[in-house]
Amino acid sequence: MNINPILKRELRVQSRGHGLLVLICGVNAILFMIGVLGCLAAAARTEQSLAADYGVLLDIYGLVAMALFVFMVMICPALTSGSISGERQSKTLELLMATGMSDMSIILGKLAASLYTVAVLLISCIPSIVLPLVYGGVSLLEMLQLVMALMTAALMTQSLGLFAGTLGFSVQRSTALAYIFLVVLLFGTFLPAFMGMPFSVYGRDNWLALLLILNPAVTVLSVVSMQVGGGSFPAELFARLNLDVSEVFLGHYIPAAMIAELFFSLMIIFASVKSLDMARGGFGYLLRKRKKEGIEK
Amino acid sequence: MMLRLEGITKFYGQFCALNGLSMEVEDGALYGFVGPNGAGKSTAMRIMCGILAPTSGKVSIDGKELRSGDQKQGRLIGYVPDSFGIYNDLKVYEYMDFFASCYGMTGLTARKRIEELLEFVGLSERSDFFVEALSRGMKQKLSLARALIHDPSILILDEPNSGLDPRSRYEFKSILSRLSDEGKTMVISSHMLNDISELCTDIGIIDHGSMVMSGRLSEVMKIVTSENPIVIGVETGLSRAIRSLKEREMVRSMSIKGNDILINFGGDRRAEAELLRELIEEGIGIRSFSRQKGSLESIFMQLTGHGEEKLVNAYENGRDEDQL
Repeated sequence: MNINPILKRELRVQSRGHGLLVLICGVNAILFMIGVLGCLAAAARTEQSLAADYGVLLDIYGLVAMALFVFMVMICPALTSGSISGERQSKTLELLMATGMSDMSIILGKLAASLYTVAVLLISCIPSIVLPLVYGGVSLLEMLQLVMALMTAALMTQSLGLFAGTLGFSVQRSTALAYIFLVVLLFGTFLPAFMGMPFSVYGRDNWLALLLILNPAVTVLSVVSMQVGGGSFPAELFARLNLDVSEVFLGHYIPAAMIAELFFSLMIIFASVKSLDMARGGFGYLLRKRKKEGIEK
Repeated sequence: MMLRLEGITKFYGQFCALNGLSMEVEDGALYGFVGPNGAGKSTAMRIMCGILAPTSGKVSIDGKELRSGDQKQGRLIGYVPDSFGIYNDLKVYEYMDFFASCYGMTGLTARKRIEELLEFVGLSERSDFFVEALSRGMKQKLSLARALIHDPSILILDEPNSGLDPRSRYEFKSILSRLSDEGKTMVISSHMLNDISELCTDIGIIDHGSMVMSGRLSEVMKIVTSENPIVIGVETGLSRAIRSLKEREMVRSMSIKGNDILINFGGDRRAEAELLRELIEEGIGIRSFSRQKGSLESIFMQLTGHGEEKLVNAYENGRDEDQL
């Protein structure tokens, strides 16, 4: 089997450096601290009430899972934003293009390399979130669901980073742009929902709130709240935003959101490929045609 | 393989980088592509490689149109950019291996080819070195080896000699010479006009995005030489010589430096001989009489609009004394 050469090169370079090791140690140390502080708080509470509250372990699990999500979405754009713009800055992108490698192979190679980093990070963090498996409360399948939600979020944020990197900016500027995209994704998706609220009175639904299906924070919060027994987070959220959705939809919200996010990620990946094609002058066929017409005139 | 560009136009926004550029590189030719900075050489070369799409016009190899990003056609071309395009975090062998796999070469085939090429460019002893540790000349050789990894029929080199010391330049030139002997079609852009004139069989001079002159180097040299000024070295009777030359219709312009007179003479070789004879008959002591030979540099300067200025400068610096 032929491995994508870009993925192979990225892994080779990564294996030489200490970046991944530092990242794993750093993130795990912080998660460990959160876990320990949670346990200490639970122990203090147990001492006061003289009754063991095993539910507190689920709260710690939820806290660690959300902390992991925050780390991942913070790290992911940085992992990919410099991958294409860095190649462009070091003038190696045109060499890759000259090899006849397709733009899709270049993009997928870069994406796969950063997904590998995130996957390794996630696997290394599993010991921090498996505590409820010992005391009960969360099943292995549910934990797998959390991992999938986190990976979907990672794919989405990495795709955004990659897209920012293909837009022809320097590494610094594309990284800044990737974080702007991230802010728009995490907070900007709430904006239409809030804006639609005044128009959704008298029994009209605020359908703009449905945009939140693309928000990975909402998806991961839904997974965690469901697992720790905090009720249905999407049901509460949509009710607050004046959107009356069916029980069937709410019952399948998590897989539906993950599919929507995957679809959105695919669209961003295709946009990145097209954007890379722009570097060749191939993007914007209509624009070229207009120029051509202008010359002919 | 024959490379042809027809009416290539490239706009960057409102800026026209190439304005209907057409050129033809014959099979096995070593084509010198020269022009002042910003003339559009690099853009044209990127278009030849399929890295950049033209706004209009077409590039074809052996009659088949090349489209940007076309994998099959792109593999017929090897490209050495003006920057090295080096991954500093890879070792020399790994760097070659990476590009071999980009071209779909793996295993023993790739290994043999890499070893062969590193030997060819003289880097086989440094295959375990990090690319970062190589000198500029070595990086350029590595870049050339990389461009040859898939054994392309056409090699495009953008300023391959720039920034190299004389020794590296000499070594690089001899490598290109060997490749030319092997029958590779090459397009080289360079500011080192002397290097190009020693290597090239054909030449194209580009200015403001258009081709101003192209053809066999020897033919182009002939045309330009016939338009070069005649340098007359006067030993005695300088003022008489000036008076005599001023009266002649064929002498279009004249400039004087010390005891030498530069004339822009419109006559043929016979008229030149006649002029010399008459000057001697008038009792003027002539030390030397010759038409300044055309050099690639003089062609370049003339065609890109700095001809007279450069010729006088070259003359004043005494660079052409041996030709007088």
